[in-house]
Amino acid sequence: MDENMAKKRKLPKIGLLYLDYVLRFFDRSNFKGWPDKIEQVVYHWGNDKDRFIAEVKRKKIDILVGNIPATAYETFAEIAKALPNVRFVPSIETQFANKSKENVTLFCEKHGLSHPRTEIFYDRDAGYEYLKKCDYPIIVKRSYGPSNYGGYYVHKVKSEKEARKLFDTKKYHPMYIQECIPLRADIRVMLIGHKPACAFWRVAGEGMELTNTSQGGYMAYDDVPMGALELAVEASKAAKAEYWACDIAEYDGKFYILECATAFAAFPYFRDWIGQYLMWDFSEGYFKKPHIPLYNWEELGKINPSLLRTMRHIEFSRYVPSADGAIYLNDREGEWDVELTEESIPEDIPDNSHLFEFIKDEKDLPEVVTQEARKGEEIHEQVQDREMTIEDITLTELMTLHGMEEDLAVEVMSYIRTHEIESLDELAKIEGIERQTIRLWAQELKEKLDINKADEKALSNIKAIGKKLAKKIVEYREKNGKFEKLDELLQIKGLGGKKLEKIGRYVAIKSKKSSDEK
Amino acid sequence: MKQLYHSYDEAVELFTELARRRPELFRVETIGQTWEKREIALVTISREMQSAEERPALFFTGTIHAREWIGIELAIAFCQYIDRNIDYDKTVQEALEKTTIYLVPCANPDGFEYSRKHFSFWRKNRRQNADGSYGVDLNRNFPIGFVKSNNPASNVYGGPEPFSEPETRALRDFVLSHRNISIALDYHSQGNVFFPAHDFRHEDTIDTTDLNVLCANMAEEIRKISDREYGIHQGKPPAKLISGSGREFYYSQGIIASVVEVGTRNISDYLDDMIEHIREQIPALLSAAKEAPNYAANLSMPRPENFRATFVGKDNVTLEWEPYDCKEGEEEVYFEIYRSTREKSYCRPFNLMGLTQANRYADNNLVPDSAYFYHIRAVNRRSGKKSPFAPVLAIRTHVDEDEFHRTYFPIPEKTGYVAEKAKDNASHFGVNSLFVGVSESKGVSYAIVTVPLKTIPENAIIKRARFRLYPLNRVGVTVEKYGEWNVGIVDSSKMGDIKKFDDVKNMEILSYIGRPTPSNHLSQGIWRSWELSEIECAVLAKEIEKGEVVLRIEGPKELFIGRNSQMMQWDLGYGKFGGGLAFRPHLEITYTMPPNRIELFPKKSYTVSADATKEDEIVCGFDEKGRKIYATFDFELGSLPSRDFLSITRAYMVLNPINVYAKENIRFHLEMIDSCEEKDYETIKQRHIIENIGYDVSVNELKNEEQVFLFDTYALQEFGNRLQEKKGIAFVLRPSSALKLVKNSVVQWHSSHPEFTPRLVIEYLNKRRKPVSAVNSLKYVVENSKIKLSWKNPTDKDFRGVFVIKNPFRKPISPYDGDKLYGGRDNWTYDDFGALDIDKYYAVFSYDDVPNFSEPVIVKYKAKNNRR
Repeated sequence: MDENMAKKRKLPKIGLLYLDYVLRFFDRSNFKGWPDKIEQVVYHWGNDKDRFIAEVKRKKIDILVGNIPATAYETFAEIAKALPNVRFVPSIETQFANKSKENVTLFCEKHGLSHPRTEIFYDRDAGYEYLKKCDYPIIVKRSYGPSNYGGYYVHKVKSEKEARKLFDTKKYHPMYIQECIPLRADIRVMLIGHKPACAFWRVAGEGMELTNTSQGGYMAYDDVPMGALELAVEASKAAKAEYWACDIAEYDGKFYILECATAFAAFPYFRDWIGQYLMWDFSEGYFKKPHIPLYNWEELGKINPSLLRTMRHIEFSRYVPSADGAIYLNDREGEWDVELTEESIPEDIPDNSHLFEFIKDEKDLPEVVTQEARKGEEIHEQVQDREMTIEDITLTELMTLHGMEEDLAVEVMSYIRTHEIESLDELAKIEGIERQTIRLWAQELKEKLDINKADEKALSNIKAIGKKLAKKIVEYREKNGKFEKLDELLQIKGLGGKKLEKIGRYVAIKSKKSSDEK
Repeated sequence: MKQLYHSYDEAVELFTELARRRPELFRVETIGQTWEKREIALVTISREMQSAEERPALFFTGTIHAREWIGIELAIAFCQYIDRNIDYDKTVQEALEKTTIYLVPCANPDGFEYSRKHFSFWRKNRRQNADGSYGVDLNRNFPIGFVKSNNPASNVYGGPEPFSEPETRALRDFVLSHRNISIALDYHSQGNVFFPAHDFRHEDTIDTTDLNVLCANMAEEIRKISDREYGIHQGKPPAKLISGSGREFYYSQGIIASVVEVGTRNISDYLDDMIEHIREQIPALLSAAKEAPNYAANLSMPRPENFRATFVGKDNVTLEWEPYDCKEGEEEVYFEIYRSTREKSYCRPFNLMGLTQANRYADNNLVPDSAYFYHIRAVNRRSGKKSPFAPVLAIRTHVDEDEFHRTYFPIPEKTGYVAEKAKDNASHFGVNSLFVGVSESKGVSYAIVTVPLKTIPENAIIKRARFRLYPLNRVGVTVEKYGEWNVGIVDSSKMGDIKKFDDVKNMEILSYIGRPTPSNHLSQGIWRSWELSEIECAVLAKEIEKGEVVLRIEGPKELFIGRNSQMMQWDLGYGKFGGGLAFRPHLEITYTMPPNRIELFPKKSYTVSADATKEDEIVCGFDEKGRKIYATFDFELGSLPSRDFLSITRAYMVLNPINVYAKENIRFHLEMIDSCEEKDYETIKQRHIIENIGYDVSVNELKNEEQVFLFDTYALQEFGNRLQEKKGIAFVLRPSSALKLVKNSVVQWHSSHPEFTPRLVIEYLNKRRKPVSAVNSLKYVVENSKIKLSWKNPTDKDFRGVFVIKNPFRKPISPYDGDKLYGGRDNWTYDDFGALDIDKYYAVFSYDDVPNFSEPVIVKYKAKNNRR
């Protein structure tokens, strides 16, 4: 570790999050130039939660980087709650869509993202009733499962009879039924920091019934339409994702999100780009943001993949294979030559059947994994969305604001770090930010009131609080001193758990006794 | 430069204040939010706010391009004008009587504010694009003809997909939920031109005439204020057509839609220019508002059908249309017929030629060899509601008896422009456009147009001539209000190389022709004419012997500080970017020839009195009993050339008196009659007079002087008919008196004196009077996605060529009633840009060297899937 470096600037401690049986997306080589030690923490499934939490604490990790497979999503939601000061990258909320197809749909609906019309039935009778009246063909997907790799659980169904047969045998639950968008190709867009960094067409093979394009066919980097890129950007910003991938269909001039997630297969150089980007975000602008020009893929796509891999060894760091998060290995410590998946030669993408010998069949998964998977199956949740608040905002989040630019984001970040911000209006002091811009940001940034500073009037302006309660809060504060935790509000008469949940959206503890008194 | 303009917030505040003060007249609402969360304001003006949504409406949009500030300023001024004037101003009251006006003063508030505060000439909105650049051109973000682009940094980037922008979605949602909108005007700057909506095809649409008339009427209101002429240009292939614009979207919803390009700069000098533009546009807007009820979708009266010319003469035309099929009953309907002498003209009270309840109208007193344009619409007598217009009818009157017509197109290789700073001026010849004026990049620029004069006799007398140019793009070239464009006849005997700038600059001009076109009359899409005076015609006539005439077009030669161009672009009509035959410069010439002259003498002369008939003697007057004595003389016409090739320009009789034995109050009349064998008194008394020749003469005018009796037009016509039938003709000299009874008063006239004998003088031209045969076997095939026409030409000796025209609405009977596709001697042509999915008529007219046009041979092109 470079002592001088650390003195100049305190950087957060990075930990790489790994899981047994799960392919590793990042390793240290992707963070070339990061001066401090990068830790690793491995989750072993089963009753490993507490040990995992303890290890993260012991290693004083500030940021945990890694994809969480759908199976472990619920567990990690709990882990994240237990580690409130650890930033998960991507955040649990960002990974919401990773968990299930249903979550993709919920995510798109919540953010008004263009998505094929989808019906989800937990009630089988209602579902079968729907099959009677819907227009065919339809797309049926398994919403959730330990492995959704390879499009095995996506079906194009042409009639009610076929649909009934499918649901009778597969027992998919919930019934996830989607409008079928006729297409021979879809578009994969991969983004880093809300910017498309790679995109290509995935074209179905001759005579293939196209349901999911991950089987058969070939890829093409040419003329990816701007509409697909923009929709992917919109989704990335909505998810506040550091990195992101979308599969998008184009039909009749309109674009639709078919899938989106933080987990995807990527060339090693691409993971380097993500690493560099994360270093910019984690260092709050100290490291340069990688410059990734739009449509670079049209050029890089012409380069032989083996040359790209070699160049990556020369230019960036040592080659270590990794793959997306939901591929399970026979070997628990597993090393796996994933590079073959990445060649853009027709027979290997997306026809990657030769890889499957390495991948565990779902029925052969270790009991610990499947058990954990069953836990997640039961949970049918509300869409998760991490609200941005000014005091713990990240650069990636700042970059979702309209009109935000890279240099300005670093400037704003630095201003936030060096000032006690009471109101967003203060940002007008920064050159280049206009009133209208602040008004606009205020709608996107939930600016929470400081419960320890807000006066009675400000508090009563919050609908969930009102005049009476505002008075009580201020009285309590005056009597008992500043709040340490929001939970303390429960001490106030007439303020229950539900109310607290509501109020929590509008207020935060921004100034504490301890820090104030220091 | 910017202080006198309103900010977006100030503007909204003004509208809100108006609405607060006069809620019965104004209403302000929000129709959407921009990327930067500004509210997009919409102002409603209605005399009855309660029923505003039920009244036909005019939809105004402004400043969709950030830098085009006229929109928001005009909206403010317009509302204030309504507020001030409505209580007493009849024009305002009428405009709003049945019409609601919706205004979106600024459709791009983010961009507008960015333009105000940072980058004046910003055009797009403020979307943040995927590549980090900003902005989508909102007027390329609509779905009709939307073009995908991967270049967000472009100034005309249309966005990732149609309606990707909140601003365009707001406009869409408003329009789709307000079906009462019948007219939409989208205000832009610059260019002083209207761009009506198009459907990306070459053929006019059924409502092209409505669009053009709406714009022309607005243009006339503008001219009233400032003498500025606005152009009208509906885009057609092969010009690059604007895609994905709001106008075409509104049009796709059945709305009459046009863009109005105001002024000569985006952000103009407020006091000098902007105030004037606003003053011009207010009455124009009011005139458009008044039309809104006539185009309301559900209320509309059907337009008159099959409006056509059934006869075209040299000075008259007969127009017919189908009896009106209207549920309101025929007697309730009358028709308005408007006539104008130029394309895309207005229909205002002062060119309303007639009202009729019939389905036929004859128009007279036209000038021969001249173009006329007729408009017709039906009017409900009770409600005053008017129908849309039938497609405009274009005709050209025939040449006069003594006239020939030539339209000459330039010789491509000798036609182009030379610019001071251009490296390769020779490459500007024969292709694309003519640039005339001055710009920073080109320097001073002249155009040279060389017109052949090959088929016109050297001794021709040019009666009228005009040189015409089609003005192209005024938007790109930003012509300011100064300078004039002149055309001069070059002394080609002294000129150097027409492709070298210095030689062109130093050319000697024999005569400038017509009046110069000042900058404020340069109107895109409307032909400019330089009409030659008689003196200039004479100069032109001298060039005939050289076989061609060289014209130099010049414009302003100086640039003011801050201006980088004062340059006009005219279509050359040749080359890949030229508009083709229909937009080619041309010189129209009407000429005549020195007449031939023939003198005929009577075969026989008679004096017919009650008592006797005497041969070879001409006495006329009253006999001793007061009975009339007539004189008559017969002519044979067999010695004249065939009537089919003879055009009589003038005819007169000459009589010489010998002795006058008469009182003063006797007058003599010369009458033309058919010749007959019997020369007895009764027959003469019962004669049928064809026409009186000239005027009567009195005794005291005679005084031994020669008397000339001049044929009038009717007499010439009737004489011509007799000639055609090779019939003889006779004249009768008849006396009359003021007194009831006159006796023994006669005048004796020369009958056989070698010098003074009566003679019929005929002046004539050798000119074909009937067209050559029509073509035959006209057919079309579709070849390489183009319609190809072929036919067989007639074998007549005098056949000179054919005119091929098309008309998507009716069978054209005049060779000028449609788009001209071809003129010449070939027996085939392509319709290069013709839409395959539109039914249409093709007509072929053959012509001789007068030209007389044959009856048309017509073929109907039947589209497989007709789109209309």
